[in-house]
Amino acid sequence: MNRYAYTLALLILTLCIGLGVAIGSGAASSITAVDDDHGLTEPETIDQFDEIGVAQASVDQPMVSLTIADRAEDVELDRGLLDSDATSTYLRVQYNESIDRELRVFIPAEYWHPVSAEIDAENAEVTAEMRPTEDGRYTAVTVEFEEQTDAVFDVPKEASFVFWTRDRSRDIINETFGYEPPQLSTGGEWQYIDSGELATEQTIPIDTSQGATIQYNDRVESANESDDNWLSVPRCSRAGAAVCTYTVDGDADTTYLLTQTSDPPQVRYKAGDDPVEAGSSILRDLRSIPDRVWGDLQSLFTRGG
Amino acid sequence: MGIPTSITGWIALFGVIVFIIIALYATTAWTIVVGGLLLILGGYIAYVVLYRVDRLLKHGSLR
Repeated sequence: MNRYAYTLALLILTLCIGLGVAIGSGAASSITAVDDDHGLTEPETIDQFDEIGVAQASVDQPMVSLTIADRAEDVELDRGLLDSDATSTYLRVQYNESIDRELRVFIPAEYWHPVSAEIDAENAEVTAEMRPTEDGRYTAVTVEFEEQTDAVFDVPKEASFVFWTRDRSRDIINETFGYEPPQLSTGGEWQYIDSGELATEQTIPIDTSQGATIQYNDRVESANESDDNWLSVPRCSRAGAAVCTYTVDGDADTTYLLTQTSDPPQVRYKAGDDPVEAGSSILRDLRSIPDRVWGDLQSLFTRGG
Repeated sequence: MGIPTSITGWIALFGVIVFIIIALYATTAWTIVVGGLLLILGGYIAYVVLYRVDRLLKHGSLR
């Protein structure tokens, strides 16, 4: 029985940890944030969309054209005879550069109510991640382009309606009972500090008056590619961390980020304590442990050999 | 002290070893807490499964 017990216990314990940590995947890289700095946010463009059902804007840096339309033909998308435009709003993103870039643009709520969704392009191999911004005025659309791409995304009006209903219900509960239902995710946009901007023992103040979620990129290098692995920045009481945070008595609204190595990792932060991100970070941290143990073992044998 | 002779002993031994590894390599205290809770859950599931397997092998029945 001991042999069975040994094997099964090992398998189940490994499986349990693996299962837990596998959930918490999720990656993001440094983002080129166009945000609301484009013509689609202009009131005239929004009025034009209301009148003729199509609006267009261009961005010079990076070179991107944005089109929002109610009809597929306005974004040059071929649909089947049975497909209807009645339940769709189309977002066309024409990325006119050849370099790999992750792009983020804010689409005002006047075009569609902000939704949380991941939508594959109808005509290209890219996916748009859509999240409502913290103030609820925009949908933050993030797309990772690898080359010059013309991508059309079909944003279903049903999804927009569901999110409108949810937000409206939240408002009604808040107005009627004075109680704001809790939200799991705070939304909000990440601000990035690239590793090149950080030096050894540098201190960076971060405004935490509304709370903050601060993470560093414990990048995992594999044979073919490097995967981002965002983990919560630990407190400075724990030795050995590449970056850490500390607070100063009498200044509760600021958290200081301290680098403790000559090669600090990329850091990102956003306003508000985000429980979903905190949980994901813990699971990603657990998932990284086998790699760290393996790395230490390898370095041990390398040194020994 | 020595090599465990029961299912519970083996599970406890592996649980302690894995927990020590987590505590050594985790970057935040919350990771250690969540890792520990997952181990307790995993250990309990392992115990239930192994207990049933043991009964099946010894008595030919799960009861």
